[in-house]
Amino acid sequence: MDNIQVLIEFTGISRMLTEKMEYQLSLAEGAGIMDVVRAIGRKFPLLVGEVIEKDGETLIPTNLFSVNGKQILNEKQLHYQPKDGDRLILLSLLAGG
Amino acid sequence: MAVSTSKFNYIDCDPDLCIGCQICEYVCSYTKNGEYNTYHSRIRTVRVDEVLITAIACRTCENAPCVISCPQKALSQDPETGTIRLEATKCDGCAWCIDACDFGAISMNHEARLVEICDQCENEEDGPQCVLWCPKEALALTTPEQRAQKSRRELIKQEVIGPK
Amino acid sequence: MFGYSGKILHIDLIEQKTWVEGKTEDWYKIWIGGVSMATRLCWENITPGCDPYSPENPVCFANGIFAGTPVPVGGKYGLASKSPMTGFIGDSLSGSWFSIALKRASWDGVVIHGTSEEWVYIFIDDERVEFRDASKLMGLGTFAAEEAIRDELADDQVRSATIGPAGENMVRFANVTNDGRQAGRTGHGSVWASKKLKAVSVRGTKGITVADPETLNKLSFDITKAAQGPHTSKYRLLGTVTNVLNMNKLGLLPTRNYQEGVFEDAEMVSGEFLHEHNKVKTIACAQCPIACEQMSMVKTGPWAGAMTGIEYECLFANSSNLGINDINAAIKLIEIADQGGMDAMSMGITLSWAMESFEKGVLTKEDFKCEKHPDGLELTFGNGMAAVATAEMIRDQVAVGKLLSQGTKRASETIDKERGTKSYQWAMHSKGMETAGYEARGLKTFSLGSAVGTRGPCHNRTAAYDPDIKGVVDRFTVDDTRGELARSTEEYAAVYDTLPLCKFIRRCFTGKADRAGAWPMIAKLINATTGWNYEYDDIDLIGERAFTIKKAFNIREGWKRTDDTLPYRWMNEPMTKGPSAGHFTSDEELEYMKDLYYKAKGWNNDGMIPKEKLKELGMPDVAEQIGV
Repeated sequence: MDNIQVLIEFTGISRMLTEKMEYQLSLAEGAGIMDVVRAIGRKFPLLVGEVIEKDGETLIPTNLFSVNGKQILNEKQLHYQPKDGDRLILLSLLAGG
Repeated sequence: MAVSTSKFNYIDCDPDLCIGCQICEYVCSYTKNGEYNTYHSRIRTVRVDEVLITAIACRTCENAPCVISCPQKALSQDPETGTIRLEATKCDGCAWCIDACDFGAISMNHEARLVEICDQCENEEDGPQCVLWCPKEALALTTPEQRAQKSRRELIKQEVIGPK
Repeated sequence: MFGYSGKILHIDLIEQKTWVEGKTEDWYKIWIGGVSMATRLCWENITPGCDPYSPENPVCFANGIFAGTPVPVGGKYGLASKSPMTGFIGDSLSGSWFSIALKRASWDGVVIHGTSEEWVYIFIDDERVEFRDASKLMGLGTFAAEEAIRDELADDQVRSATIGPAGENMVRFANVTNDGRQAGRTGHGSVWASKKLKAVSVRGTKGITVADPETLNKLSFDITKAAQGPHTSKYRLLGTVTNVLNMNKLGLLPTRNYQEGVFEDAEMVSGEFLHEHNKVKTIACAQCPIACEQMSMVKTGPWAGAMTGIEYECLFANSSNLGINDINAAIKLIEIADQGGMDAMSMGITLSWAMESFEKGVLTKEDFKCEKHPDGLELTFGNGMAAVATAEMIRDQVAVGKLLSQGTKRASETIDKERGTKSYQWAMHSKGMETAGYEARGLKTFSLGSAVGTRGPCHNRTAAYDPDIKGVVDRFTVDDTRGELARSTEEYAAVYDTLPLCKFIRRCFTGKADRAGAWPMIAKLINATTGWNYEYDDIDLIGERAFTIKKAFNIREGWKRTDDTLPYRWMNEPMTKGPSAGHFTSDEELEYMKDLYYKAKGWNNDGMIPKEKLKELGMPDVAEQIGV
């Protein structure tokens, strides 16, 4: 099985906690979003409890991934399988003020 | 002349953490007077400008000026805890103690014509209510020495580990 | 009665007299507080069809049901008048101490009638009212005026709602400011100025009691603690300005007068950047345990020392929207708006209209000629200095500032008439009020919500961007669910705007912010405060009633279906860059969505409200006047 590369872009809280703007992640082909979450939770444990649930597998609402700025992956789309070269943007969505 | 060289506990507020929400004032006035009213709170927030905010309550001064100033000898200081006690029957609401307190920590209850001073919620099982409620943990029941120790530890952490 | 005093204070500026109107508990059960009660008071006290700047347009305050109690984020009030920008209801909310002082002065609402002969400010001292000479306050900025009043009355606990010099000068989008927060939109500042009303000050010394304080304290304590956790991190640590990058990444950040949705320098004007370089402290409104207001300061350069609270809406309007990548210029612009007392959003969007007009030759350098700038200005996109100078001209009504002070609708109409131009094509307003910080061309449900908004294209009132952005629906297309969605989001938001409660607390009740997660707790809080027996359905009704009275008010003031529309740009020109490029909302799509929305609301196809519906909702007098 080949590995694919995805780029995780951090914004808001996730950027503050990881102190990174982006992170290149290598995934096994066929990996799903929960695998992505698990991987970045392991790499950046500070995210767990603030952005990632304590179980390490899902995002705390209202943190969501956007795929290339277009599609937002909400809880109904966790089966999404990232493609090679995807930009997964981690957003903390909130009401403006 | 301020004389808080207190060895006693008092309610202290960290201005770096205080956000000025005033929840301490509602909770204090409710605990002591049964209503939410910042005029009847014994801890008072103060904003000097938009970002300089803190809260003040009785500093349990040694040789408390309020006690000395009371013409009716209605105020006394507990030798163990340092809290100021009011003998309500003796107090005639003259406000000399309010004048004497450099911290502005005493206020007048106009309806009762009695002064109100923080007593650290000695009658509450879980202690000072304001400390319990403060959302930012800016309040603490502490002595000056403990406060200084905390500041030193924070400083070291920042110097060695880096600012958070 | 708990939670209310039962009294509305009426003040007449013409004869300088006051009277008290008693209201029944049943009345409060329908109108509650905030935007709903404020609109209802306006409905009851306005002369329909009047000019918003006339004595017949009342200024109506409605307090909050939880103000002055430990219920987190309950310290808010509603303010309503007929808006001089839209000619429809101008309902606003503001937070912090003013509402609490008013509650302790034992007033549920205040209605100010008429016009004063001389500039005054009103001092409500518990039950006593004074009309005080405001001449020493004239020209003072919003914060300075508050301080001056506090000094004059010698009491820290006096809270004031003031207008700034922009209001005094009748800038149409001027606002009302209290305690560093604003009743920002729809032009309240100019309404007050038309009445020669500089400020309303309150001192309340009474205590507030509730029906079940033990329960209320327990619930409040738990919510207060929950408000420190991950459900509010984004507000506490970065504030609403987090949205700059959020929107930019989705291609929805209004850039250069909404020409595009991606700003190449978004990082430089992002919340993250602000946090790193400019943040001084995060502070809170009174009664709020979250603390989201990011006080930020300019540290170097020509505007060093400028400091104010920065929110997303003000920030986008005065940075990406102006093509400005200098965060310092943005902070300075927002400070001018805050101190001067004008809506930073409308100001920014009027400036961006002016920039595009300048670049297209509709406005020229000469238009900006004045004493301070004898050679005029080059107001091009990205020019921070010129933007700051122009903002000051707007505040002071100097040179082209006079035109711009009227907002994009009137400025573009005037210029197009005078110069035969087509600047209406880039005037970003609907019904006369400027748009908000979300590119509607990439958010179809939000487009609908913006078009049907009762106070104009307000993101806060519709909240319909939520299903679009969260991917609940396809944000680029239209389908038959959109009407019901827009109804649902706006009525959800209206509950918070009526109590009022700040929406940032919504996840802190149970971890879920939907109706099922929030309504039960809200019902408990209401019941513990008032002693009522409110349940889930009653909470839902709060939102429906709020929107209904606002719509009814508008209908009485002459609203027609054709008023529900969008800016030309959103209906004709697609964006070309970023993930949301290539879309706009066509006439056909909008009309289709409006049909769905009116149906979902239970209105007829003209958007009129059936008598039966109004009676069902407990407003028989409204049914008589405008029901069909």
